[in-house]
Amino acid sequence: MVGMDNNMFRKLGNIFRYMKLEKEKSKNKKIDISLNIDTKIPKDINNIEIELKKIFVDSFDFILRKITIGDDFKREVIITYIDGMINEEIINNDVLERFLEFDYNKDNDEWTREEDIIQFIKKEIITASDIREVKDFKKTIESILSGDTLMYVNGADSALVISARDWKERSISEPVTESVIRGPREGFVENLKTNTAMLRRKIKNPKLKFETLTLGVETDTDICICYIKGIADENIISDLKYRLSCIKSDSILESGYIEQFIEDAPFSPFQTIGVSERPDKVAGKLLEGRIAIICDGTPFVLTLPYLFVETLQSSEDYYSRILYASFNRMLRFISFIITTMLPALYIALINFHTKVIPVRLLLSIMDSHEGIPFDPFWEAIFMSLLFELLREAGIRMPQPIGQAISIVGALVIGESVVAAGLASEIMIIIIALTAITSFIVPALSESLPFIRIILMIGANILGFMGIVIMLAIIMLHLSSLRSFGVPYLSPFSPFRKERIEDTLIRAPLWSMFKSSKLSSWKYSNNYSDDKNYIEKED
Amino acid sequence: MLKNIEISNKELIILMAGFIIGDSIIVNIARAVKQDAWISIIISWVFAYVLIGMYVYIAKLNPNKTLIEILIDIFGKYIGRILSVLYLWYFLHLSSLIFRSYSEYISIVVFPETPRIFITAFSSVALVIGLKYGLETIARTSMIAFIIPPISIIIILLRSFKHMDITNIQPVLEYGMNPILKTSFGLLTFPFGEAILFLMIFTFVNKKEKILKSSFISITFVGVLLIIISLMNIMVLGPEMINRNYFNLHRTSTVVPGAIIDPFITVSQLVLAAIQIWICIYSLLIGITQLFNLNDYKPFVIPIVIISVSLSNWLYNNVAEMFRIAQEIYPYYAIPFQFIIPIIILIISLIKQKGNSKSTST
Amino acid sequence: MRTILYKVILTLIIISILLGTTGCWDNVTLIEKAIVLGIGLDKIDDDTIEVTLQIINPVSLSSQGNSSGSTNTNNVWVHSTQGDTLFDTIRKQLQTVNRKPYYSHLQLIVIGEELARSGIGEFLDFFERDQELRLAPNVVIAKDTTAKKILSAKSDLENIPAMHLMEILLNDKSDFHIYNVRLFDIITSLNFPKKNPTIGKIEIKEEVSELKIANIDVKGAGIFLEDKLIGWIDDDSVEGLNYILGKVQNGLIIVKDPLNEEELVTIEQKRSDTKIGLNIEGDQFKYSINIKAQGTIGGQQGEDDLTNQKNSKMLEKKVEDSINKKVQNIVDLAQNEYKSDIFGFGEKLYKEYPDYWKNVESNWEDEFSNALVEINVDFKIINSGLIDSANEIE
Repeated sequence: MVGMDNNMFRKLGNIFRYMKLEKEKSKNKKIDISLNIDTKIPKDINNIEIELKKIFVDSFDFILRKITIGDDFKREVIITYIDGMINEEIINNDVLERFLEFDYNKDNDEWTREEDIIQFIKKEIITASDIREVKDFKKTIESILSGDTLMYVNGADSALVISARDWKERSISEPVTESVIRGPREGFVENLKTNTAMLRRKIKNPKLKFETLTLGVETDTDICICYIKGIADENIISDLKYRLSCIKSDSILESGYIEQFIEDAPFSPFQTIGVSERPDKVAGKLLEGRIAIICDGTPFVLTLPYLFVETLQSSEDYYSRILYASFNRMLRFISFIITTMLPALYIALINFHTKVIPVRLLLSIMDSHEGIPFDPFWEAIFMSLLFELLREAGIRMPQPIGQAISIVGALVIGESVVAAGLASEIMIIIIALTAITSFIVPALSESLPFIRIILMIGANILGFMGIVIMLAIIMLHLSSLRSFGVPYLSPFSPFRKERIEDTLIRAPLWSMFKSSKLSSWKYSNNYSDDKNYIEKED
Repeated sequence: MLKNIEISNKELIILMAGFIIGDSIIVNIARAVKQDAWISIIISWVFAYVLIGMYVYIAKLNPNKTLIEILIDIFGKYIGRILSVLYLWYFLHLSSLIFRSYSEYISIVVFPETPRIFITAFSSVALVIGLKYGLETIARTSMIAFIIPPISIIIILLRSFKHMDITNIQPVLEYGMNPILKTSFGLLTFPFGEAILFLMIFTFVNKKEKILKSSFISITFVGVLLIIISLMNIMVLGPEMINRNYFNLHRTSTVVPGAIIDPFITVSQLVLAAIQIWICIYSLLIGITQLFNLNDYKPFVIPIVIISVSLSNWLYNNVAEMFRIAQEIYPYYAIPFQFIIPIIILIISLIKQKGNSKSTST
Repeated sequence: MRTILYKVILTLIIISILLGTTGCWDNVTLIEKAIVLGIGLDKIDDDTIEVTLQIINPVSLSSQGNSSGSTNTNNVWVHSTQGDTLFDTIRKQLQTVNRKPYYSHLQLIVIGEELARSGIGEFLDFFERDQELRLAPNVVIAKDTTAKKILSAKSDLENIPAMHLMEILLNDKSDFHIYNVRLFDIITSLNFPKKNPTIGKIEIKEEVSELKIANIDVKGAGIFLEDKLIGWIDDDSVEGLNYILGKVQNGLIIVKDPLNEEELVTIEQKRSDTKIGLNIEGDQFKYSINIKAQGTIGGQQGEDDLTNQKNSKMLEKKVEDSINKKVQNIVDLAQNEYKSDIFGFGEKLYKEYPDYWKNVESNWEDEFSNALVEINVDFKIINSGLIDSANEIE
């Protein structure tokens, strides 16, 4: 049964990918429905005004200012922007004021000629630094929407984009999800440009490339692919670009959207794309040859390829001293084992392999189990469910209430469950241990409950043997997983000597950085499961 | 030909070592010679180098060909196909023998109430998934899982160190050399000679020139491990108990008081049995696709596993019969598959190669 | 897409149903198991045997956690059944015990004297054959009483009397009057054709209305001929036997003060090592038992300084004589009185001279009692504690 559904995951994944392609085909037809506009800018300024007002009807934040300038020869100019997205000071000082102060009589020639007017304004009048000329009317609309100020001039065939974007944003602060004791205190913010600047400050190298593209038919979200040319594998980059180009979603609101569209195994409990909020961590990954995807509007940056060992790594490992860092790595590995296997091992010991427990320990276990009406399996399921409920309840609540919930959960429920004889003390200890250790490997928090339950099921069916069989299934799944062509269990299996030094222990930096750290991830061409396809020999 | 499947030489070492150790970790085939078991293991170990060296040489003489292709190549279309079918039967039979022996161990020692068929069926879920994923995934998984058996052996060794009595290996050669040689021959056919299956696997190894080295590394590893286990059992249990007990290693672990270590044996036995069955059935599937010129083996995975499991169920009546047949009949049954046909293949391909080199030189 | 999702949901439902319903065959929860810690085997008459089980009483265990320190509650349940074979009799326990008896934690096997005299082979077979049992439990023989009585004795120190008795047996490391064997040792000694086991003895010191472990003595041993008990040896002989088998590590030796015959000196032996040598001259074979031991002066009644070289040598000589006497005593007993090879001399001969063994195997009993045994003891006093001579009382 399990075999079927595991295989089914794979099939599902294939079908899902296929459907993405299908969707892409169907999307192509309705792609222009949202902005059904002429691409040419109308010559007549009045037409422009009508057109713009039509597009931005019922949008109170849309500002359109029509002014007439010039001393002798008057020209009409429209300045539009979205309120709250621009720096009005720049517009006032460098655009409007310049228009008023300019001496139009001095060089009347160009001012009157229609073909040169845009050039003239650009060169002579406006002092704002970032100006672009756009001929496509649709593009001007897009620019307005993304915070630029647009200037249309009567009679000109192009418009000026004045980039004076400025909106209220969160200042750089310490990331909440990945706090460290030692290390930089800055985290990514919602603004794409701030984020790329943070990375650029860390890696001052022209080889660090930022390629941008926009995704999302309705939202037009800016996406940035960062990598270091020469270190990152070209195949992975092109594969990534291909996968990104397949996304034809209406909206991209967070990097999680992208992640779900491009990941290798959508139905696997294990993530194949990494997420980080820390610039130093992302910079480190870039230097290891990985690729980062920054999405505008979210501080969470995706890194890929993502391997299993990375769940055990933390950026702090590289800042603290060797022994302590290695100790922490081992601790995390042990916690991973405890948090996934402890309830299953306990069930197997109690129900099947009682003989493994030493006599005196058995006496105290028996003592706590006497009078509990439930099977240890259901007891464990019930208690883990309780823990997951409390966790979820605590996260969504405001901080003070969240604390209250954890007190209620830990003290009241835990205590009274034992007192009521619904669960044994030892089971409470086991689940508490699992919970604590699961906080040590936060990167795996999404996959842990699944592994835990699968192993518990195995343990309830055939004790240790059931655990081994379930583990084998998980291991097979992990071994077959690939993240952008790189085997998911990479440094362990297939075994790679030069990378094993940064896994369960962390070797000294001077030995690691010599060569291997900068070597790229080799892309393997056959990343799909078609590997076992047999061709007839001709 | 199979496209793109590649396993590294390290994975070959692991697969071969796991495959050869297999159920000899719990079943002591040399128990008939009591305290001299370790001598017969050493003798067969030495001959195993020659035998497996021969298999590797055959693979070298017929590069990029599996056993089935070699057979058809050497013996012609008809005889070659008949021999191939015989070999495929041998692979199937072997896989069901392994199914039987480990499930028998588990149903006798660990879960006496559970029906054996349930144990095999439940474990074959993982086996089927592995086969569907293919050889690369199997090799990678084995690479990680293979840490367990040596560690378990070391743990048992340390735990039982206090209970060892070195005089138990005396008197050496009590019954003379004859029974020892006979047992060695049995050991050469099981487990060492079973490496004939790797003629199906060698083509997938990425560094073909290092196959011999890798094979010898794994034989060395297997030999050392088997001798350690054998000596440990003899020293702890003494010759009489070795002869009487089906599962020596398990018995050794029950002698030790205090913390109980037999789950380690069960787990490592499962790992090794899984490697064995994977290799057997994978070879069988590849053989089927090549013999019948098919595109894909995946549709055959579930039927073949079901056949193998059901075959394992009616091979023997009980465990006593299983051990008797494994000790007395199996060696003779394996002779043609492990010795006669390979030697003929070797001779013919040597002659062919000579002919080729002559024709190219003239 | 939708059909596949249905499939996934369906498999999940099936798996959860499977889980809920299959309480798989070997899945027995702890509260359905009755943990057996002690087994007593007795013979009622020629055909009937009686099996006594000492089972942990989980109810009292948990109630004791709440009310501290009441030792009078019944921590164990002791129950006997009678039947024809061991397996059958054990199964009959199910007629009174609601939980399934679970034997893996068995600590102690007590065999009644009657049964021991008529042979224990059948029982050893059962213990070796069953997968749930291990070969680690300790075995004792109940002298002049039944195993049932011994297992019914209560302990004031421990929750579980069987654990108490078992741990007394483990004290053989520091008191060599206790003779401790595990089931495995008995089976291996019976494996060799002419080697006979010895099993520790347990007896009731004084008859009281409510038997406690304080009224029980664990010392001495029973000598077997094959699997039948033929006689008893006292605790001094057990000391000698422990020396020969090399089981002694730590213990006390009391000798007379070499300078003053009326006073006693206590020597604490720290470690010892026994090697048995075998020489064959013609058709006469000679065993030499070489004991090397070390010890410290643990206490003295006299006031003399025993640490100087001359006195120390004399003291060592005394100790050596004392050990020699005890060893000689048990060798005489085994060779002449019981004619039972309890030392494994035959096995030694077989391992070193297998051809010679074949000639003498058939009448090994006689050969054994005629064998020459030479005892060499080498004892060294390595220190005298924190002081050299005793405080002179003036």
